[in-house]
Amino acid sequence: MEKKLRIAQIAPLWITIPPLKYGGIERIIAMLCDGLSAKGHEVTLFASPGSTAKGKLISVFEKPLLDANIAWSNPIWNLRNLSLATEMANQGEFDIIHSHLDLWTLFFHNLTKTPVINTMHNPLYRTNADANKDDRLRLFMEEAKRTNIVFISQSAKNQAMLEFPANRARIIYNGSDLSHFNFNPKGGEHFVWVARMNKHKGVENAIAAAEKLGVKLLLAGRIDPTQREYFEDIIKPHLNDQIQYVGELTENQLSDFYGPAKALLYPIEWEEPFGLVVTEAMACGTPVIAYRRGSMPELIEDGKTGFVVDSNLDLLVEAMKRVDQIDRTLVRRQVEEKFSKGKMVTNYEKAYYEILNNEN
Amino acid sequence: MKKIKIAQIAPLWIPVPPRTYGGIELMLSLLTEELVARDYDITLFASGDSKTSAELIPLTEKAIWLQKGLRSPHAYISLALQKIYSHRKSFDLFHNHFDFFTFPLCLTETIPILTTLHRPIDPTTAQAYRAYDKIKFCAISEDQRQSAEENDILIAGVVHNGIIPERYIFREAPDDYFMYLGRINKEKGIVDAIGAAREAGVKLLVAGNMVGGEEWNYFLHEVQPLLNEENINFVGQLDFNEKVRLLGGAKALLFPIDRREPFGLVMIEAMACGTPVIAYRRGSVPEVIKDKETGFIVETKEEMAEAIKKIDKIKRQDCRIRVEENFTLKQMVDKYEEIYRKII
Repeated sequence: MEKKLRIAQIAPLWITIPPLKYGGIERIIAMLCDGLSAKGHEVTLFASPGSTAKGKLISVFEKPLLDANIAWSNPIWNLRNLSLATEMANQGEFDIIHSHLDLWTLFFHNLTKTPVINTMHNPLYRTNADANKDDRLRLFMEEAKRTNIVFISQSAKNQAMLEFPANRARIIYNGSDLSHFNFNPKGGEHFVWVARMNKHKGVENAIAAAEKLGVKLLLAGRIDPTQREYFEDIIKPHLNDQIQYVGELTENQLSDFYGPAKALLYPIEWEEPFGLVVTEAMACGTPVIAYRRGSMPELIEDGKTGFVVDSNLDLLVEAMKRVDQIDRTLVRRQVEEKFSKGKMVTNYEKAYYEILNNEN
Repeated sequence: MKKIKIAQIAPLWIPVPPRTYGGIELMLSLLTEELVARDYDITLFASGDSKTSAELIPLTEKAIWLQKGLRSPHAYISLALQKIYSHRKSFDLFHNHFDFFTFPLCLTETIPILTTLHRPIDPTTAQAYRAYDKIKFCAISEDQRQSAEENDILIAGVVHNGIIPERYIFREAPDDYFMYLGRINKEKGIVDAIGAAREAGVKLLVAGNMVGGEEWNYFLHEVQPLLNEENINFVGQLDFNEKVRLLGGAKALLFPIDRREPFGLVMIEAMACGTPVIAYRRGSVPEVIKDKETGFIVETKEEMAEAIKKIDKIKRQDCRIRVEENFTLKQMVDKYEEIYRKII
């Protein structure tokens, strides 16, 4: 048996781990801390006070940065967080550092001999068109070849447009806690859409398809202040008995929202690196009909756990008509096999051991 | 004897020296030139559009604020750290002017880093500063040292900013206007300057710029409506020569500062031209201005208006002398040399 590891998890400091409400990255980190601790590893979590994920909590600042009104553009505490973890690593306190701070982290692996692994939770660029002149890509190219990178899908890795040295880049899918998502074998007659209210999340496409087919559609998700006008001007005029907006749901409410639906519509307009709502819906047995963008073909098995169609409204409507062909048991099973919390934790654990064995 | 090798690290927001506004970059440019003249081996890490007789290692092609459509300055800064780090073995000392961004460089190596604190100290940021206990700090006024020490930041030395008085043309007889020069924001006190000038019934020339959405909003909503009368004249950003010409022509510089100003370079620039300064009693102001001799130190807008009316009591020659005796580049660099020697 391999020895248990001392693992530093570096989290963003804006909100707690896990988050009280919205926050996909923060939820993933919490699952990872809980899962690794349960396997007997010694986890040190660098995160904001109030975080309840398992492990020893170290906080460089007295409260979550969002509560302290610290601007998103001010990196001082994220730098301090990374610096403290690096200092402790240099005193021999950790076997490995796992950072979730994306690009900020990349420089820091130079400052320690302790191996560092970075999960790139956010997409590297908005579009490929401006990628070549993008400063973030330049940074990435300079540092990424010398450190360990995890992408959350093959699609996200392809977006990086880089050849990586063997053993440096990995793909580890995000996981969901299946105990939070109850299997619903029957589903229902209406469709659902869940995401942050935003054009590139495909909300207009979902509405247009439901209107065309004359079916009921429930929309859920947060409306950011910057998207308020979009919602009022573009989305609200479509709302009626058939198309309803139910607000932002907490994690506890999600299962009861996904389960009774016939399918989740996810006709996105960007290269989404993962899409946690897709696997969460599937965990409830609810098939997903998505546009062929980003990670969608990796998450959904076309014709078996949902449909992946080219970005075209008629194709989307066609797929909605055929959704009864999908066996909801298989949908749930796919999440159990590929996208569970346990699977994700095991994959990260395996990556840590591989990296440590390579470096020694 | 082997030359001492010092790296000066500039902020990357605007070039060194600045095209128009930018006290830190102006001071850093002077410091760098003088150190080269004193036979140090100086490297300047700065944006690629900077000009220096030291060796320039560009950290970005162009200064960050001058780039169009830049989405992620943090990636740039991370790249900059990497570049500085890759040169770390070439220097005896890093002299940092780029705030906390470079602090992580102290984590592994033993190269000393001296940081000049160019901005006011706020208690929250000070918490993070304190945590980097290998960084040496330098203040630019006694008041700033006190402010730092109130926040438990140890100060290695105080060095007032200095200029080359010969570059500022002394004017014995000014024209008939007062002047405001600086960023157009709340902290620098533009609205009070306009208010005081109106109350005293004098002409005010407003020069300065806005950086970022917040300052533009402030300008559009709070300042611009006040500029629509013939006594208040807005002239925008000035280059160095234009600045000297207009400062010299002013009866006084109004400096109703609404923050604990760490130094206030514009005050000594004005005095070098012979122009007295009327300022609020905040931060470094009492160290820089001699009340009733090189200007007036006041508490309110009303007092500023009163001071405007008695400005002719100030001898402009005394203003110039104050700078020549206390705030020259030579004095500044002598002090820095002393601190460098202590640290190396």
